Amino acid sequence: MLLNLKNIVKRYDVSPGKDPLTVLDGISFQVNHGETIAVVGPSGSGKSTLLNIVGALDKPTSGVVLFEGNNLAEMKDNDVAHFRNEKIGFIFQLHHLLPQCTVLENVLIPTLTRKTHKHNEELRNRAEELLIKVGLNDHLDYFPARLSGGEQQRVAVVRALINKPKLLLADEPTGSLDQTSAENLGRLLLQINKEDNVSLIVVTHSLDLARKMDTVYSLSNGKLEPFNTNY
Amino acid sequence: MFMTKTKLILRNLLYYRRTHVWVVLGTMVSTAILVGALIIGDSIRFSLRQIVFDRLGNTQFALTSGDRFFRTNVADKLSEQLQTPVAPLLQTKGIVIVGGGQKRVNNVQIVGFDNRFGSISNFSGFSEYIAPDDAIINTHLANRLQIKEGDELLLRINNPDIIPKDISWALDSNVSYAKRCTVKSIVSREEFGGFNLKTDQIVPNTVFVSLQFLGSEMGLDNKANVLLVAESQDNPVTITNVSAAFKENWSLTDAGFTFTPLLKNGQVELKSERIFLDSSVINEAHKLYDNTQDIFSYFVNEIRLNDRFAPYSFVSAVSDFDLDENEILINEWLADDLHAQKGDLLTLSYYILGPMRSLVETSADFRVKAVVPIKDIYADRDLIPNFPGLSNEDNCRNWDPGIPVDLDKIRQKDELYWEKYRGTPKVFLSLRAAQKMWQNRFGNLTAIRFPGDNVEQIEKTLDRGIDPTSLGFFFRDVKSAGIMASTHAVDFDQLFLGLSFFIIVAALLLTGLLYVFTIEQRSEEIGLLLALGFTKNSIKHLIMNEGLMLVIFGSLAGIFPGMIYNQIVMIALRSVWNNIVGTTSIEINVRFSTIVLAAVIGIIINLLTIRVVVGNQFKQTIADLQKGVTKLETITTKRPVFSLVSGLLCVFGVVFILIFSSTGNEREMIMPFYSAGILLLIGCIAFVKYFIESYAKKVNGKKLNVINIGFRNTVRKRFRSLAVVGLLACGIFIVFTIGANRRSPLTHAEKRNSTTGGFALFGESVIPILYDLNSEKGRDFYGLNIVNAEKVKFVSFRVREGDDASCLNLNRISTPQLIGVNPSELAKRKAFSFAKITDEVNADNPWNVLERDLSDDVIPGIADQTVIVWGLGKAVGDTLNYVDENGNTFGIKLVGGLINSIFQGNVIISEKAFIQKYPSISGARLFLVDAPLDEIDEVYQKISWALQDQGIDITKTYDRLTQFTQVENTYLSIFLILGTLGLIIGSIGIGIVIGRNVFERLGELALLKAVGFNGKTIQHLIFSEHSVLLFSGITIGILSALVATLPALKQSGTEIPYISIILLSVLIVVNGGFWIYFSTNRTIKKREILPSLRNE
Repeated sequence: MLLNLKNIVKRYDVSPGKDPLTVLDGISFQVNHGETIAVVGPSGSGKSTLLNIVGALDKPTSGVVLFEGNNLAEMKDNDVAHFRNEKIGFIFQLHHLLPQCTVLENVLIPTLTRKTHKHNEELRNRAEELLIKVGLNDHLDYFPARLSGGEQQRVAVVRALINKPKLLLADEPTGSLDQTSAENLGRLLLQINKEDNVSLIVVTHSLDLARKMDTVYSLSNGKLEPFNTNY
Repeated sequence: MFMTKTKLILRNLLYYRRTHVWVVLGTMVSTAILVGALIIGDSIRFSLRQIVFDRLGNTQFALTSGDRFFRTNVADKLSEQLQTPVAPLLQTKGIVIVGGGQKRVNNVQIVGFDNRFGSISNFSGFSEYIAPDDAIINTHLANRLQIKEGDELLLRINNPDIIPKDISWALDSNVSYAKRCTVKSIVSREEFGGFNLKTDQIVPNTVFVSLQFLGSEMGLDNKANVLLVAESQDNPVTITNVSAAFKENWSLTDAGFTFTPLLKNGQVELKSERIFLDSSVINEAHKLYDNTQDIFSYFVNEIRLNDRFAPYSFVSAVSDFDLDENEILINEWLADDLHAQKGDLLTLSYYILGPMRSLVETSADFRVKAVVPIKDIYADRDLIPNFPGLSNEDNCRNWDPGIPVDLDKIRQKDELYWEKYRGTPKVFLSLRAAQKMWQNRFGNLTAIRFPGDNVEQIEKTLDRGIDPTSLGFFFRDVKSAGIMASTHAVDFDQLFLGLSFFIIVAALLLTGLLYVFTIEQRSEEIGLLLALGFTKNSIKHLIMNEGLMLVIFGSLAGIFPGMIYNQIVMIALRSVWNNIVGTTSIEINVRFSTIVLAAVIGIIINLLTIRVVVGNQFKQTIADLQKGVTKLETITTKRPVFSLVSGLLCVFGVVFILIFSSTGNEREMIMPFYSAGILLLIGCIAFVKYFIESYAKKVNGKKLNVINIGFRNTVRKRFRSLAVVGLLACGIFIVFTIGANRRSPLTHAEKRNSTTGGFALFGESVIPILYDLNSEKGRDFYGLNIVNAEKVKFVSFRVREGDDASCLNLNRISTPQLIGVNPSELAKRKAFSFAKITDEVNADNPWNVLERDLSDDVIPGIADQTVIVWGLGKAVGDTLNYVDENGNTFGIKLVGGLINSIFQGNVIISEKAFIQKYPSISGARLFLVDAPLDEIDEVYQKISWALQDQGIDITKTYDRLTQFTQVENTYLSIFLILGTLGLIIGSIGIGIVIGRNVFERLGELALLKAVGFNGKTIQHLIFSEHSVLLFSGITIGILSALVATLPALKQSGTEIPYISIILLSVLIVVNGGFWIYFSTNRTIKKREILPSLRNE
């Protein structure tokens, strides 16, 4: 098992004197190697919060997140950062490319955390291969501003893959894309999942994308439940 | 190319260049200030050092013996031995008058020189012959007198007699003489016109005349009182070499001692032109010869037996006489005259020397042991020293001694005695009795006779034995001392750093604010990097490196503006701020190492600022960062207990201080009240914080209106809001408190405890005033009967010249001018106030401490507190080392520090100690005058007129204080100007904060617009919201400053520049208002609001 969430609770203080708002209310689920999962639900239901907790971008109020048997809560900050860098690949709705860096440089940003540069050549080759794979071989030296939304998101996907993560977390990856780009991206994610055996959790509003995953959950009122995509 | 962190940093720098340029500008400003200030320091040090070379020429060592003289040929012997040029000078003071008295300059340095001076000066003009009637003057004096070459001037020169004028027998008629001269040439500072042996950057007014002419006019042919020894590159000399060479080549005869062979007696007699032999000479003579005959002769007014008396006679004591203290021998002539015989009791009336040539007539009775014939030693005319106006006169009617003689008392038989026996003593007494009655500070013998007839041998023996230092002939390494004083001069770099402190802080604040805003703008990028596995530290490291690049660039860019800033300050120092440097001879000295140092400091302080602001970042969650949510977006819900407690504690502190410090004198209240002001400032800022936080806590209960919405933003950005309030409050506080410290000597100057001591006038004379000006004799002698003796009183001070330690001298002085006063004169007036005293001082009667004996070689002294601290770099309780007239080192313990007084630059000791240490310095040259307030102008004019030939420079005490306070006030003005500049830079920061606030609220503003608010209303809303901060800051600043300066406002001499303060405050308000308006308007106009709404 790659990931095991046990009874995750997340609450927020809203205003003075009021009870905290419970966003996640005792959520438990597991993810195996190579498994793909989609989480759907209405806006504000806590989908992104759940994804952030899984990716160690946020901490649960209570509950345990075990990644390959290691409790993320017990990790030190630097170890958590290291964990995110090596084990997790993030894809955000707003792809968050650095406008000051070229496509290739953006992809290589996660590699900058390494202390040595002895694998630079190797990393560069991998980045180029991945970019060729997503059809951006002619855009290596482009700055993000020159790319379309779909292209930018593909760069973000490649960036997420550069360190060969075991789990890819995608937060509304198609949210800002047109239909064609969204479909292409969905295909790309699944292709990566199959070729590299990378597990995938996708938070999305798009049922089309969700249907392509092995398992689909619905998050509502803080509870996670299996979702029937045949609606 | 590979992706590296360096590459990422470079990409960031390039991409964010528009925002980064402001950070670079901030860094540039602080570095420019640093560069400018440090170059100012270097330039002042360099200029002072240059002035040392200009004023000393090639001089390395100098001997200045004041009123003791030596033969000029010593210079040649010394030069030959040391293989370096040596020049003798006859140096005194004088007055220069031109245009028939229309223009007059007192306190002029008169230098008698010959061609030997040329090799010291390196100026050919001094190597040439100068005619007796010619004078070379320096440009400084020429400018003051507005004269040119060929013009005539009248010199009135102080005549430094061989005999100290305090010895009443010295004539009081030849204290000065006048001489008309033609200006041969005018010499600039570069042409050695700035010659000055004193450690001072101010060029003295100087007239150079012929040494030969000056010597002959003064009766000091071939004599000098200054010896300059040039430095020698080829054959370096040390002070030990020079002193040894001087001792070797110098003889007692050079210094006014005479050796006379007494062939009849088989003796050689040693006498001094100064009448009395110095104790050091006597001691050495006794050490070298154990069978000397010691002689003490004196002049008595009367020898009486009952109703018979003989007037004005010489009497002698000789060590050989076998007489009791109350026994005398009288000669036959006197016995006949008085009908006296053995066993009769004769009364001798005589004068005792008092201070300021005062004479007290007293008498003593002696029993006649025997009547002796006028032969052998009893007929020895040589027993009598050369009393001026007596010894060499042909008849008694021609007597004109320094002491009062009633010539009517002289009888025909007295004339006959004089004709036959001249000054042959009529009475002989024991040496012990004579010394007991007549010994004084100048000595206790008038002659010593040595057995033998080999004058040369005796002279040589004594020359070898006597250290010339003991007679005041010693060298100082004036060049090294000058360089040392210039090296440790007033630290203008530190001074200007201090004065520019607020600008530097403001610039740093600007850098910090701008950088933090840049970082906040990039929160999404930071969130992304965190999400991608960067640690917070590695991101901070990246940001710091980016900042490092910016500050390096900014610091390098700041070098050139720094040099321009330096130029501006230097121009100001040469003109409007000239009174703080006292010279226009300031040259800019740019050193590469200084620029590097300034740039490095600039980099470090800016980087530290960035480190501080960056360290406070990334407190939000990664998810929030990614969403672009900057810190402090949310309204805190914590209870503001800390702010409340801090505020209350501060207020309690203020109340406590005010209650317990409001009694006592105003001076003692200054520090506590200043502390109270600062506490109030901190307390008020804490209350503002409390108010903001309390508001935040109750925000939900508040009525919803536009103002509340706006104010919530102020609350949400409470640290920014507090920064605005704090910056303004601190700025106003500084401007106000500095302004309130400006001093005017005009207020309460008549009070005894004020800085004038209640004295109306302050006078300094060139020619010593020999008599007590309060005495009838003194008033008669100096024509001061024109002032009312009852109303106008003088307090006189003796002066031992030294370096000026006042704020007008930039050099670090070690031996300031000493002035000696009778402390009771100041004590009985309870004059002046003390800032600090040691335990030895009785606070109720501090002046009396000057009469105390502290230890063998330490005497108490009092000086201005500012002089002690800044001029001397010492503290009350420290000791200064001086060398007395006999070459002995003694200490002056600074037992008290006066509050800013008219004594700046001087150290005050008791007259008694002064006379003991410097017996040869005669008369008083410094005066304080008590006069009725409504008659000051009249008294001023009368004294100026009466003492004009003494070269009196009389000033109203408050004018003198004005001169000093002007320096202080100039510093304060510079601080105010630079502080205001800092405040303006700071207010640009406020503008940026406001602009940033508005920018962040574009969505909110767009919403307001969308629901019907027009642009003007929105502007008004933002303006009002920030105006609250502006006025809070100003109010807090003014309130705190009022508390801090309350004692200063009440204190005498404080001149509050209300207009400047009000103008500055208005400027700050207007400036702040402008930035609020500008930022609001610009941000709203430049940005399309509705797209912002869409983005939301």
